[in-house]
Amino acid sequence: MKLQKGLRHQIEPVHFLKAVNRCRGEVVLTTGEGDCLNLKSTLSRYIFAVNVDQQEFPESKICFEEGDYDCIREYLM
Amino acid sequence: MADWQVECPMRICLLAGHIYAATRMGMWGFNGRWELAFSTSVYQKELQNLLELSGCMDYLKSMEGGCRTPVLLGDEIGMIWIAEHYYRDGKPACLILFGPMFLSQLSVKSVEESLKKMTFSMSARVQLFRILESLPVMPFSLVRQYAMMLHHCITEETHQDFSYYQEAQLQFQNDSLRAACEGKIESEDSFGSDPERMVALERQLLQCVRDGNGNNAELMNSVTELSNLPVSHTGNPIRDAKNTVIILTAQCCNAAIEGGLSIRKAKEMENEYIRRAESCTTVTELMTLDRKMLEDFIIQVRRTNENPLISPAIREGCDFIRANIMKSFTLADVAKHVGYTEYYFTRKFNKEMGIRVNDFVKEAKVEYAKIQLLTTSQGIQEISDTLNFGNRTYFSKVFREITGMTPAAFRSQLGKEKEDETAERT
Repeated sequence: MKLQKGLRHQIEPVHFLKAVNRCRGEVVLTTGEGDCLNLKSTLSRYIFAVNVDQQEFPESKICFEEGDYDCIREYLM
Repeated sequence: MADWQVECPMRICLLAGHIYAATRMGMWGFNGRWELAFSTSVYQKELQNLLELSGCMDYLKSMEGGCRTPVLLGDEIGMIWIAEHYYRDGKPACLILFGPMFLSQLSVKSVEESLKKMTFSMSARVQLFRILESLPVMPFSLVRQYAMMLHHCITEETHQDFSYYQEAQLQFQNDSLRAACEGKIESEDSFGSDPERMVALERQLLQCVRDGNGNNAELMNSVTELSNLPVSHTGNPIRDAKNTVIILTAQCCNAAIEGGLSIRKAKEMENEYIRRAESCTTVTELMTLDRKMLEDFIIQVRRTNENPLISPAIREGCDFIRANIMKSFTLADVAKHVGYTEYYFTRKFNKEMGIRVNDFVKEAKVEYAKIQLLTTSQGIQEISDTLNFGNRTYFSKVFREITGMTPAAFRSQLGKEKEDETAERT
């Protein structure tokens, strides 16, 4: 079952993405502008990492498998 | 000498400054706790994130005792880093990194293409685009030299034998990175992807040697392009460059013999240039030697073939035509250049050369056009304009009369610019 949660502000991108790596299923971030970043793909991770300090990805949502909740819970709203 | 000794941190600072000035590549220093101590990179925060995400830092942390020799690190999109530890009291005290950069074989273009194919909004992609565009792209031979400079700065070790640095010192994060660096992976943007064009270039150059014709400056410059295409992949760029020069020297020697140079003289020159190639210590020296060797063979063939039946004035007229082929000139200009009237010059030219001056000019223009078609992506109209043919139809007609095919067909024969062929038919 998929869960969808908001992303916390001012997260540390490298720690967050390393946590995402520990997830078994796909983790997709959907930005307020409608962009979908598959956070398991290298280029998407790089886009996230270079943008996260400049824009807080307002209204962005994280979609992930229920079983992966514990891996990333500290970064969710 | 003692006055000139500089402490390691100062040496590293100087090297960082030199490399940044030359390539805009950043230097990074991490302390013993793997915390960033300094960086000269413009995009420090973003690139540090990418470095951490790439797995390169994890690899370095896993190296027991640190890295005593330069390590080449790479990520999935082809970004390269060079790293080495600075030791104090036998323990790794500071990690120095240079990068990131792209190898010429692993072009940044392919990454940008992948980014373009993604359906993200421009605002999401633009920052990564901007960062990637700012990164230097350099050949592996240069990356290796920077790695050795870093090693020398940290350790002050010097070795007379350059191959010691090349073969023993450099470590790679993994085998695929080693293979990519040593040119064993065929990439789409490498010279090897267009072998027909390189072979055609080589033929044109050898024809210049046979004809003793060194007036085509652009073709002569293309020898650099051939020098950049190694004929061997030994993993040692100097050896590969030497092999390339040696083979081209042997080819030029044969072409010069076919052009009329005596076998004895040609072989003497061949041996001399091979000896000089073997004594070169840098790729730059070899590239200079390549050009000199080619020019030397051309001059010797030309001297041999100086026909006593052709007067110096007519020879000078031929040179004037070839050297000014892109300019607009009249026969009166050529005649004036050699000090004759137009009437006398054209008659004398026809008598000695067995061809009318106008036809000689056309042939020289077509020879030049062939080189342009071969070495550039210029349109046929543009080449026609450059050579003052007046219009494209006339250019195509003259080209076909001399070569038996249209300019577009000549180009498409080399697998280039198919669209020109279509345009030519219409």
